[in-house]
Amino acid sequence: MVAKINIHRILFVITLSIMLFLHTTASKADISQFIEENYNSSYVEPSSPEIDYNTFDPFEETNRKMFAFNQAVDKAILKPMAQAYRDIVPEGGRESIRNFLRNLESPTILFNDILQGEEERASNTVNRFVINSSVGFFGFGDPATDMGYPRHTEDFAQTLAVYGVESGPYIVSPLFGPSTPRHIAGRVVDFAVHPLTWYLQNQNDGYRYSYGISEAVVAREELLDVLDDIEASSTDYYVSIRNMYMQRRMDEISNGVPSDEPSEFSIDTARDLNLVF
Amino acid sequence: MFQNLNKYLIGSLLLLVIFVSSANGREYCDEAIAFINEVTDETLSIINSSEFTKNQKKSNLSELLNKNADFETMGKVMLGKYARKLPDDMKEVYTDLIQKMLTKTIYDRLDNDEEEPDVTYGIVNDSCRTKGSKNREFLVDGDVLKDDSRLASIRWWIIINKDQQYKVIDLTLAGVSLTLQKKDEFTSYLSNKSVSQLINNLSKKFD
Repeated sequence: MVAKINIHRILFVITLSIMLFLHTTASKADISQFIEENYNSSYVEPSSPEIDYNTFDPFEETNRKMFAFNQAVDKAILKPMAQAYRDIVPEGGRESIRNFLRNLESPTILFNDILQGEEERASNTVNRFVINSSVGFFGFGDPATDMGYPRHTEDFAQTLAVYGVESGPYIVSPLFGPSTPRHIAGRVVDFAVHPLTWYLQNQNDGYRYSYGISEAVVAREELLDVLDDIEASSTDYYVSIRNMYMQRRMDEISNGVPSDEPSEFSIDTARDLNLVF
Repeated sequence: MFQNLNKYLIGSLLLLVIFVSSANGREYCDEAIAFINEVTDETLSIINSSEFTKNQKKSNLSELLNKNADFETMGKVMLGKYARKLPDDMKEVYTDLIQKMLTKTIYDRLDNDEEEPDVTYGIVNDSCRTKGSKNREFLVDGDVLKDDSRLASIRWWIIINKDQQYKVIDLTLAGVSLTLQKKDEFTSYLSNKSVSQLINNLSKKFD
């Protein structure tokens, strides 16, 4: 009887030890691999565990050319328009216009909230749209935020990501800038489900172009200072924008929830492995 | 009877070990959150002050970050595998440039050039989790509440150094980590240029 209990106990301890050992080595192996690749060897240089640019940006040469083209267009046309818009319209007016355009995006956001099964966010979007369209005077004001319904964004590319569709390679598209095939496909669907697309279909070209140009100018104005600062302080502006795009998209897809990846870089682990720290 | 007692003892000991280690992490996390709240409050009070000029604000922010951030570690993270190629006599110059670069970047991202700057209040909805192997690294997440009631997400990566002081080693604003962004830039730059050229480039921009 005593021998039987001892065998059980020994088996239990052995199983527990094996489980603990496997758990520790598995997560350690992930971290070690990441750090080896980043800090010790001449192997590819991912900037974070999730991004390996050799795979992610295989068309870098072409992308850089397109980036330069977009820069030239921006400097010649869009940026001066955004600057003029800032000079003419006071901050309060610009904020109202931003609110109005954002309110028009609500049906698209709701569509994607629902597709992602985000009930709470969908209800938040409905409440925002109702409140801002009525109390907020057709969306020019944003009283919904004060009432506890803060703004969030969703798009179809994020929905595809939630369903496991890979982003594909990084592409700098003409005029639209940083993108991926998933993001481009998402933009097409978002454009198709946007109520204004259907409304403007029956209007003359002037209305359609005005809306598109207004959106671009308003968005560019909001980024005037940020992009100037990044360009001035960057050693490689193309890489800065690519990295910001990737980090922002990953943050948006995860709704701002930090990753719990075991391979996440840690200074202590790097020190344990006697690397550069 | 003694066999059962043994089982209970082993079980209790195991639970105690688990409880103590998680309580330890929680305690450090509480301290980490308090540290971050203090740093955030001081940063925002500098940025939002109407008493200081832009240059005074930058100088005060630099002083604050110098006290609370580990620029040496940040600089090494940014260099990645190229950190080994940093000559000893350039380490100090490089760390100094990293400090200037990050102070400027953080200032530019938090401040805006509007006539009526956004008044931002302290950090709200904070949360903390440990990372790394020794319960000495933390990610503190929070939202900065602005005067227009909007929330801006902010994430600090901090570490307890060998003198048992909390030090910031990264700041993520609106989903973009400054350290990772700069690391990416440096890696691209250093793929066809030397560390000395990088230092020259940085001194032209930030010295």
